[in-house]
Amino acid sequence: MSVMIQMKNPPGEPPPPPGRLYWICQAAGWGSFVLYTLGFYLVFGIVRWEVVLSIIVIDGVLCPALTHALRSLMYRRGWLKLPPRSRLLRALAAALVLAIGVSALVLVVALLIPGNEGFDRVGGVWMFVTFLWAFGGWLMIYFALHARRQRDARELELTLDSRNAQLDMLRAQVNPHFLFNCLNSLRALIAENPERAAAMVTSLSDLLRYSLQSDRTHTVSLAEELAIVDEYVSLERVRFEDRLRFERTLDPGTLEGRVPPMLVQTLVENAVKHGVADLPQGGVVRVRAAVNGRNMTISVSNSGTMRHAYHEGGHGLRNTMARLRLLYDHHASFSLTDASGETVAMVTLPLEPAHERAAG
Amino acid sequence: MNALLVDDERLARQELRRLLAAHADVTIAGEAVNADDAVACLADPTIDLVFLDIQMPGGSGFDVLERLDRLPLVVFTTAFDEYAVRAFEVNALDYLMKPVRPERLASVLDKARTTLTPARDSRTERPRLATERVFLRDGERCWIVQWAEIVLFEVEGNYARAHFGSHRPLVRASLNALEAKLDPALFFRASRQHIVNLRFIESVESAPDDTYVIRLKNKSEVPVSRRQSRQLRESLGL
Repeated sequence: MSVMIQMKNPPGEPPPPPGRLYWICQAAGWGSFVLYTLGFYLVFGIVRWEVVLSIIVIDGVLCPALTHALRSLMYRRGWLKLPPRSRLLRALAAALVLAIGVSALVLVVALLIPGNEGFDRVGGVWMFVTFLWAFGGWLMIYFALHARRQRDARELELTLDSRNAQLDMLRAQVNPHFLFNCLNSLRALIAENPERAAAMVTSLSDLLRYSLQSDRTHTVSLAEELAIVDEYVSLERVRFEDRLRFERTLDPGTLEGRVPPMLVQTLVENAVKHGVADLPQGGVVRVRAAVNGRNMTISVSNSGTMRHAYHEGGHGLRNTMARLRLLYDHHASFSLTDASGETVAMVTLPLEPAHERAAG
Repeated sequence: MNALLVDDERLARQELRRLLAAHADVTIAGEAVNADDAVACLADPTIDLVFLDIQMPGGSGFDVLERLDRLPLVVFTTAFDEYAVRAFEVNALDYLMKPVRPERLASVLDKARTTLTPARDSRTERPRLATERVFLRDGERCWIVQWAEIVLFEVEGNYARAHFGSHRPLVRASLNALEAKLDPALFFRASRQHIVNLRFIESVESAPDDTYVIRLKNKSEVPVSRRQSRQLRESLGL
């Protein structure tokens, strides 16, 4: 009794549709092979139409078809995932089988052409070697191009991975300082005003949910973003009471404009931190949005100048700039100016969704 | 215990007040809503303990401490900058994370009671500032130390550099102003450049011109000026 040990091949897969380069190589490779063979016969003065036709059919149609089938076989058997040595052995075997098969066919066809003298021993061997070279060469070129394409794909994947990782990191999150101060106020409010405390829990939940769900590439409408900004401001009002004053001025049409989630929220949070929290008598935070051709301009201003900026304050803004650059490239801009007792953060970005640009 | 609450948020102060109500021996002496307010309130010498928020408008809790000659016991209250509090190398009483856990507050108060009892007794006997604490800052690093632990003050421009342990932070006061504040039984003005802590003197050696060189326990040597040498001779009975 014999036990057949089967080499465990990597799982195969159906061949993907070939790319343009594949067809160009097939056409150029076998085309020049046909010309080379024809030229060879012409040099020896053999110009019979049957010979020319058989060369065109066998070298120009059958060989490309056979190698195309070989490609399909390689994918289905998972050859391309094998280590180089086993892959080379299989490729050599395939080239041998194909070369023997096609040479045999040519010998038979040569005998069938009336008045043709066929191949002598040297001519037959020489033809076999030529086919072996052709199929072997085909395989080597295929492997080389396949390896290059895989490397390119991996590089692209790496670039995308690192970009997504960057976006993940930059994804604006609720500032922990704010969060814990909020919870502390809430603890006091539970005794003082239970109804307000209950409302505060809902606002805080909405804000947290929004910030946790904010996907790295998708955008939201300015209306959705501002709804969250309102929740945020209502929470900060619990903390700062009448020290925080909030105003917003929105042009018609801006509410449907798309923004990365947490963008305006981050700017407002920053404005509250420097324009209200740092000033004993508090201050005003203003949000303005205007349509500007195909762009939308959003500005968030606060009373007080940047010298009030606490040393870690720049983090949120740097984050915002990096996010805009990654999502919109040079189509968006960000500026921070300090004039007449007011600090203004201004973002200009396209009205249309960002992810189309991001994917491009 | 007399406590002062410093926080810019009304609800935060109220929460602390509510938590402290459970401790009968703690009297709330007042509330301050920003740095200036806090400095003014802390001029009151009967305040034993301050609950101090770190991030406040118009100056941080650290800025408040830096402006005080005499520190009460300091308990930092903070929402998230625990790291800032941990920057303390020496002798901060403790810190509380907001929202505050009642048990944690109880243990902080226990610690305050044990620290305050001996200090209170000694306050009547010893001259002022000897056991008083001072807040010192050098860049990102901060210390709360007792004046008595400072080995040496050395002039640096208009200010003075305090030497203690391996640290050399700058004190924002002139040597003359310091001399006026410090207890003469503990500190000795050796020259225009130096004030030394008598407790840290290892030896006094004679030097030319009828002067002395003081060798301190931290191995540094301080020359004594001619005028001060005479005084040193008298006070040490040489």
